[in-house]
Amino acid sequence: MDRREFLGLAGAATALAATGTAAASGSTGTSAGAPEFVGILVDTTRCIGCRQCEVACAEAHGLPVPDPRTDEALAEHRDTTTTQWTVVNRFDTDRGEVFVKKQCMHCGQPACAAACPTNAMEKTHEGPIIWHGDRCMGCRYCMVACPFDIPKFEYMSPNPRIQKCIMCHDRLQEGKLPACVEACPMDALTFGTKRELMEEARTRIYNHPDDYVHHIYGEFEAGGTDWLYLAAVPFDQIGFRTDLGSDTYPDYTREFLYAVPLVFLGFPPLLYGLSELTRRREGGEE
Amino acid sequence: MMASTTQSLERQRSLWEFLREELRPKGPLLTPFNIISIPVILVGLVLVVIRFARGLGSVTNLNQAYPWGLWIGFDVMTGVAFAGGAYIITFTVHVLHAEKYHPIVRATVLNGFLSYLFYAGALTLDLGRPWHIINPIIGNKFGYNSILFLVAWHFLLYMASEFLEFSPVVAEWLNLEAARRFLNRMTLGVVIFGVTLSSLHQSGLGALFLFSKPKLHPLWYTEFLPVLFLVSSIFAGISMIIFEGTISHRVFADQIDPEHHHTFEDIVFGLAKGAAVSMYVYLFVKFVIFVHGQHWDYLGTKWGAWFLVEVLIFTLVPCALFTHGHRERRMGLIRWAAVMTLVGIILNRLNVSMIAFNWNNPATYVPSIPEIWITFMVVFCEIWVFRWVVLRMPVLREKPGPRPA
Amino acid sequence: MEYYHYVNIFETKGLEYILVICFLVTFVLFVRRLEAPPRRGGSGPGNVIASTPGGPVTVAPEDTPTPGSPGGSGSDGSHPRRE
Repeated sequence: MDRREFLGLAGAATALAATGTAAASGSTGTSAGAPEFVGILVDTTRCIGCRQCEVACAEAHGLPVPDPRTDEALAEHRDTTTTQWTVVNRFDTDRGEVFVKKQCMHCGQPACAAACPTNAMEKTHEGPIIWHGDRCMGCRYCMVACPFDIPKFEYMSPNPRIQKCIMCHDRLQEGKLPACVEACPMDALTFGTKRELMEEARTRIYNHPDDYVHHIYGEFEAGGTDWLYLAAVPFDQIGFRTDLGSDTYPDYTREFLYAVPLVFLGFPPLLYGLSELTRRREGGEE
Repeated sequence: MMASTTQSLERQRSLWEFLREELRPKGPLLTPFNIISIPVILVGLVLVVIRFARGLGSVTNLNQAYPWGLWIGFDVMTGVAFAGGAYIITFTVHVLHAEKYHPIVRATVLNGFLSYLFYAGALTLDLGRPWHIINPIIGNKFGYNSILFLVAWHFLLYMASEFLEFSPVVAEWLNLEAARRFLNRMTLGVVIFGVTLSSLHQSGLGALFLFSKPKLHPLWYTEFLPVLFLVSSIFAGISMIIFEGTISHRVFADQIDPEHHHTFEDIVFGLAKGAAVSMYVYLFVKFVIFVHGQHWDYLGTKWGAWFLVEVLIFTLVPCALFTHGHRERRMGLIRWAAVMTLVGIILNRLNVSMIAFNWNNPATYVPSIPEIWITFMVVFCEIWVFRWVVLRMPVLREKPGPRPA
Repeated sequence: MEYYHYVNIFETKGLEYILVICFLVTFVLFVRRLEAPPRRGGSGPGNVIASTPGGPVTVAPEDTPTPGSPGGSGSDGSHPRRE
């Protein structure tokens, strides 16, 4: 460890000690100086269901472009598909119609990336989860693992891909906003770092306590997601799962994976010892 | 010495001539098994071609909510549990030196090796992009973070271990005495490595579903899934040995010395005891986990009834049958217990991977006819190769004596 | 998700320990039940094959399965059991 690295670590440690709460999560391998996650805040109280985000998303990624004026897609609750990375659904609640945009939540510590045996699903350090076709072997374990059922597989293709929202990773690198955020006429979508978005969301709840349920979906769900949602009605009424727990998904397999090296160190000597202790004397055979 | 005379005779013929002769079919061609299996395999191959030409959706009922179906749930999850007998028996014989079980080592290891080769090999049919199957091996990329990465490596290493465990038989068959001695000396090391790998990937298959907390029914989901998979692989493997051995001893009766028939009975009684004890432990583990999970209220639902079918009828009952069969020396009971145990394992693995999976999701999945067909094709292919090897190599007959002409 | 109430994740531990004690006790009974031959009580572990015609045959644990093999190929290295 050279001097600069040491100073960097020491600085990070001081910063952590100062903020306090960050260190309390008990996570290991904190990456000092790494970029913070970006994400998008969806304020469902502002969404009017115009579906311009769907159109922009399809155009940005070369997918079939829907026609919101004629296709009556809001009549039913839709799931995302291999060719629709985001969909808007309408829910009838006791506070009227609520429109909810659905897409990949871009978990902070995602199950899909932890599940992938080839790291084809990659959580970029900036936040977006992207898919590498040159690595993926099509095992679909990411789909099994994802608590939101987001990765979609092209079953009818001999060269199938995993398709899902990538938070416009390519556009972000060019310095542009995600296509859906840019297209939204109601300012229902806000782009920023997760830290900024959390502050913005809390501010909106604080300033308009009667307009929102006092919960930010994505703050803790599945360990925290980069997409955050505000709503006027409880989230289980507008198509969200509220039973996902606040543990990160890699945590579920942590103990098993941590044990593997120990098993390799412990079992062979133990078995060898057993074999030695139960061996009969060479002379006494047959 | 007889061995040396056959050896020198053998050397006079060239190896290729010998191999060519061995490749020819032996025995009658029109047996009931052949008549059923040949069409199944031929049509299955056509289905495989369609699957690769048009994608998985053309032959399977897999969908976005059920990415894993019969080929994973049965071929891989269940097939690997059934192949667990190999690590149990090699551990018993080579590590614990329980020589009583020596006569079944070769057949069990062969069966285990072929199970991995075919059932886990069937995984390539299920992979969407199988030409990338080499990626986690060559490091594009190494997904150290993944349980599936671990399982994939273990499959590969364990197949190699099992092949090495079996290789002295191949050397014996080819009359390569020096190679046989060399390979024999490696056995203990390979067995120890293989048992370690097996404990890790049998439990690893359960660990694959640790992510499924929001999807798998609470009666089946537990953080102890790896433990349950490991313990159940013990009696799954033992039951498979009893089942396969019983059939082998009828079908390949001419391969086996009469006195071996007699010791086989004694071996089965010993195996029954092992199965009974491991099932008893498993049932208690399951009970403690059930108490720990506090899901009493689910027992009254249809899922609870289905859970009890698996646990009581297909685990507790065969456990009692094994116990009674061992105590009263009743071979019939033990065979029934083995079959029921195998059904119970199939139920358990399918429940975790398919049936109780997505219990709270309106999406459904029922395996398509081609999926079931290809599964049968894989099983039949394994039996074909097993038979081919048994009829030629000293698997069931222990002695490298004269082969049946 | 519960951030505002106390949750005891060890609630069933006492019951689990009782179950473990039950297991240890019943396991002894189970193994005894498994071992005990039907007619003759308290013989050694698994050495008696009762159903063999002509009375029980005792098999020594380390016995090789070739008492007087009819094949007659000798009992030397042909048995690949010393490995």
